[in-house]
Amino acid sequence: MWGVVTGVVQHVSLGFGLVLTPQNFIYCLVGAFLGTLVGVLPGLGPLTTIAMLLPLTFKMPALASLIMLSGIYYGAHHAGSTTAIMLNMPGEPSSVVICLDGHPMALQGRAGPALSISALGSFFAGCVSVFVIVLFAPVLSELALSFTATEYTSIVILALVASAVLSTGSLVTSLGMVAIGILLGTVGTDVNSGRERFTLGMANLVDGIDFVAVAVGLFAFSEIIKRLSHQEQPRPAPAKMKDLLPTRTDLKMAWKAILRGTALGGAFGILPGTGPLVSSFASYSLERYLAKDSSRFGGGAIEGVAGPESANNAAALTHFIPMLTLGIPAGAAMALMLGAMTIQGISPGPQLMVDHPDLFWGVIASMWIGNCMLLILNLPLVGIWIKLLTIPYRFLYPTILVFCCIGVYSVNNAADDVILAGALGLFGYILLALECRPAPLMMGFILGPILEVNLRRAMLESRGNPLAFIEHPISAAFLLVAVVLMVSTLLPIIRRQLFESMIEENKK
Amino acid sequence: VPALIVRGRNDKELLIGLIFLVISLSWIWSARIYPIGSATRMGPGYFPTMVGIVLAVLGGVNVLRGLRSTTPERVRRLSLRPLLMLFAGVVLFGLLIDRCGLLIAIAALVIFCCLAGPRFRLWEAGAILTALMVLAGALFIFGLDLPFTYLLPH
Repeated sequence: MWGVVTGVVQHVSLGFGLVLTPQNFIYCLVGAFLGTLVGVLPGLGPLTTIAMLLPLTFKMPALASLIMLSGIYYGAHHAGSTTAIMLNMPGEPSSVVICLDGHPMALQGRAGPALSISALGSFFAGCVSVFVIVLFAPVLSELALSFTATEYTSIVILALVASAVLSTGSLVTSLGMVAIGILLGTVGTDVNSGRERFTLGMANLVDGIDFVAVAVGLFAFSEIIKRLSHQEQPRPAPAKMKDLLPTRTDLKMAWKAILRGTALGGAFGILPGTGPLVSSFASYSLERYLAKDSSRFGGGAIEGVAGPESANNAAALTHFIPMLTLGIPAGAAMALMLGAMTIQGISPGPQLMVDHPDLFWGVIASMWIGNCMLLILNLPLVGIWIKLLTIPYRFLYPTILVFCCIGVYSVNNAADDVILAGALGLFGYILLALECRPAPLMMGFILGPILEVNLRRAMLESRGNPLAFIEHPISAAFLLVAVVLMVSTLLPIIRRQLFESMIEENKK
Repeated sequence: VPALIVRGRNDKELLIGLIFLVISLSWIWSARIYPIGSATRMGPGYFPTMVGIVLAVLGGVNVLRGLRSTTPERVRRLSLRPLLMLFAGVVLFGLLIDRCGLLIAIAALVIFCCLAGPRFRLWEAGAILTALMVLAGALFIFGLDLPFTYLLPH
């Protein structure tokens, strides 16, 4: 036991030693700042920002680039709630539920308590999650070393099913989106046989479709087209702020919600395919379900802000665990981080902790420092972020587009990738118009190649016996969870409690 | 008296189903030239064909559900102007960047994307264009360490 404790202390101090060098500290600050900026601006999510800025990190040292990119990622998740509370506009999807009770609070003149509770909740959730990562990542890495191709196949299937089940719309449609993603992922050279597949004779497809092009096309371009096709509505005036700090009763009502949200988000975040969006919705439903008087919800219940916001941030951080320990990205943003690591010549997975302990613990320590910075960036400076919202969208989207195009181009210096991203944007907009979300497709695209490689290896090892997936206990457990998830969508109580609010909100 | 359920066409489900079918069939058809192999030793065609079949089944289910749905629905019209203008701008950027350099590619992109918006204001487009050219140029040269020649036709 003592050995574990000293081990943890040793690792954590190694990490802090690395982050507290001036260079890395500044990159952490820059990341948290940029993340807050994009989190506040609607229509510019963490995914798009990471895709845009990825080329800039190629020249940076590996640790610095990862510290900055992860700062952007959790900073954006942290800040999305600010605009939700002040303007009833979610900065990004996972803060949609914050609007439900956060904005009514602001209208009652209680924007300050709402903002500070969400910042404190996020900070608490962040600290706990970093602790969870420190404790669990080494254990999981060790466990993952015993994984064979069979277990990897099953966990990828679980991740794909989870992303489909927890998406909006019908299960058949979301599973289909996953399948389209997997098919797009098969384009390029087959690793086993060296044969080129589905390249249509185009040279830039030999290495597969570039994932930055897919991310920018599906998430950035299609979102811009969608926004432009609605009339630009005049922005509502931000709510007035009286006092910033919550009262004693606020804290008394919120602390349990923060604890529950942190636990829920932390758990959901580890499961690949789910993440912050689902966690915040689930936490909101849970709080409403547990409340003595659920009619307060929707009219400014502080638990409805505290719970989801903590869950959101906890999940955003524990989302790193599957990527760092298994090399399996749990979401689209994580896939971009994985791409950033690969470009730096580092392959994430169970070996990462052993081969690159400095990188591993440095990134984790930076998360804690970054969360402290976010607390400072968010609360006292909230007025500045609100000012930013007065920039009209017609100035914003040309800028987003130009930097997206440069980002896609400079990954491989390939002009064809830009055209490809444009075509994917067209496709993504058609899907959005049919109310199909791009997230499951992206998961399929990222995990498809991992699935194929491991499936082929597993079937070779079992000599073509598909029962091997059930005979291995860990693999069987993953598949069981996948089946339970699919069946659970049929149960009316879960549908009502978890999904309906989510579906309604997403239709907006 | 049991309530009568009115069934009708749900365009949304039908269209999604058709998209699934088109994609799955084109993948299965293209994969016909790749060796399938066996379950033990899968060839390059095995996995894509398998996933293609799954997608085709899901598409079929959506088409059938869309034809006789309990919640009939029509699809909103696509707004063609932002769609086409944005696509044209991005494609032009891709076509121009290697031949004419970054600045001309940005100019084409920004002009088309300002045309994609609901109202086109000339002075605004000009201001955005100038600002972005300076910003992106600086990023390209100082951030990405690329030579000046990337900015202009070469």
